[in-house]
Amino acid sequence: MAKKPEILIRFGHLPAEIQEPTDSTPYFQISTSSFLLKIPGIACYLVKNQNEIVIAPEANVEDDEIALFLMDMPFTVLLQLRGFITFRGTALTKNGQARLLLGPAGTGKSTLAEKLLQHGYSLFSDFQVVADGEKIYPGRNFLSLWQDIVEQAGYDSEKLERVRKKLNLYRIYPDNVLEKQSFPLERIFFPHQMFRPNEPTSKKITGQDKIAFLWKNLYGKNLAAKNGFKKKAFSHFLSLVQKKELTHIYLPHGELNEELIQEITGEKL
Amino acid sequence: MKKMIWLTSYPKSGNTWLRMLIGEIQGENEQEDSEQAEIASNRLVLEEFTAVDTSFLTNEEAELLRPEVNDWLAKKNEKIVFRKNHDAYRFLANGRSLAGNPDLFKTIYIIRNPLSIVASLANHFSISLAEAIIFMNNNESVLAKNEKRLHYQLRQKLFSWSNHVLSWTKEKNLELFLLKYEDLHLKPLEILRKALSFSGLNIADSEINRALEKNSFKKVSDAEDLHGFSEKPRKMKKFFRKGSPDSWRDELTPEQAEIVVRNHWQVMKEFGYLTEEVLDFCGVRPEELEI
Repeated sequence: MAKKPEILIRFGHLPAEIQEPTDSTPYFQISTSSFLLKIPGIACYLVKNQNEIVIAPEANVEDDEIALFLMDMPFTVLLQLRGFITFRGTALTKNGQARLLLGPAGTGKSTLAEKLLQHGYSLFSDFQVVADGEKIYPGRNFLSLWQDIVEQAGYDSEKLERVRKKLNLYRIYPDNVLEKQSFPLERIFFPHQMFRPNEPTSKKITGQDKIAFLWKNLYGKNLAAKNGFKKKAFSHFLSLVQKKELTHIYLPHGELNEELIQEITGEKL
Repeated sequence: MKKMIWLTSYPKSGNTWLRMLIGEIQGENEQEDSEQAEIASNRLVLEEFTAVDTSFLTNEEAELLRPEVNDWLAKKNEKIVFRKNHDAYRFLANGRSLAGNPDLFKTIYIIRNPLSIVASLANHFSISLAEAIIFMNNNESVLAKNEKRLHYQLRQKLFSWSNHVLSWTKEKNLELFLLKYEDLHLKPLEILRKALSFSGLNIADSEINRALEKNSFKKVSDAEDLHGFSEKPRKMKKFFRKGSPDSWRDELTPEQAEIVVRNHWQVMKEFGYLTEEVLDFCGVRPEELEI
């Protein structure tokens, strides 16, 4: 008899509503044990019981697209229900320690990651970075970069695989990738595109603000606030950032200079 | 009672300043990220209510989600909420208006002399005055349109300046208050009082005066020099530039002003911007335009 999978992902019919939702919008319903998400033109997803995701795809949607959106919020909520935190960011490692770049899309994480790869760092998780109170877990082994960054970095976009056929978002597989290891966290950086006149280009985050910034950057935090995961997330944050540095990086005119790279790597160039 | 108010305008028409004034009165300016939170095209707001990473969606797919979210926010509001909006008023492939159901919102449409917008727009996008004039005359003009990169905001179709104005002001189903930017400079207390009253807020003059004093154009411009401004595009030198209603006379050549007038004279005339002063400046006779 086949062993029961730890997580079952299958196609199937979905209910119109979940029981006892703690929040709902026209596009999703969430409770302490379930999450029902409707993405028009793609699929509906139901996450339940910490171990099952049921998908009802719309007509003529490609499997790649169903999988792409499955790995986004449905999987994030599944991980929350199983006790893991997820950040939108990039995790790199050198000498057995992880550096985490966090922030919303468009703030400069990919630009920074590209630079760090050139400085001997290895990628071990990008896009959806999974962690608990102890360490960062291995994840996607490719960077997802928009065409303008791809071109700036000198890649030929014609030869690259797209993340989704309809988008100019490409997969870049760096040479230095570590796929199957977890690493303890060393430092976290929050890049910002905004240049603040008369202010330094990096600024340490201290005290309670560390937790506030991690909460702000927790992927799916609005859902975590509704499904009972917030308390668990905060306990992870507390142990994850103990004696760790969190730093804002303000990219002057959106660009990196040597001083900033030195600040991030801690190495003289 | 309608609790959502669109603060709508073509870009660089005083929308941000008006929102800051109203934000001051509502006690919201000190909140973190207040500049970004209530823009209709804010990606993060859409993501909060759809639970979808919109960077995986095409512009068209993301747009189709917006009317439902706008309606949802309008119904959910416990107090009157103002949201900034630069999109032209338009209908999507599914027949829905992008702005949402007009039964659920009111609109304050801010109009500004297009001659004054030119230099402001050129500064905003770091383009030449000639390019700004072309942008304002192009029905295909769009904000956040570059599909090679991810924009912080969602795509916003503007149309030409004239058609942006007409798309909102001629739409019959809208409850709309027309606010002239120039009037806000000339008689701020009166105009702000009227706009707030239209929105359902009856605010004491002393409170409005306090907001006007604290957020005078000069003060917000000086504050930007000191601390920066989060809505400023990367290449742009300064967001709050001059703000003066008459600065176009020093910024445009008569030839440039003439192109703007010839492109937009009907709407300029309807809204009181085709003055003798303007016609004299660019050397155009009224009878030439009526042909």
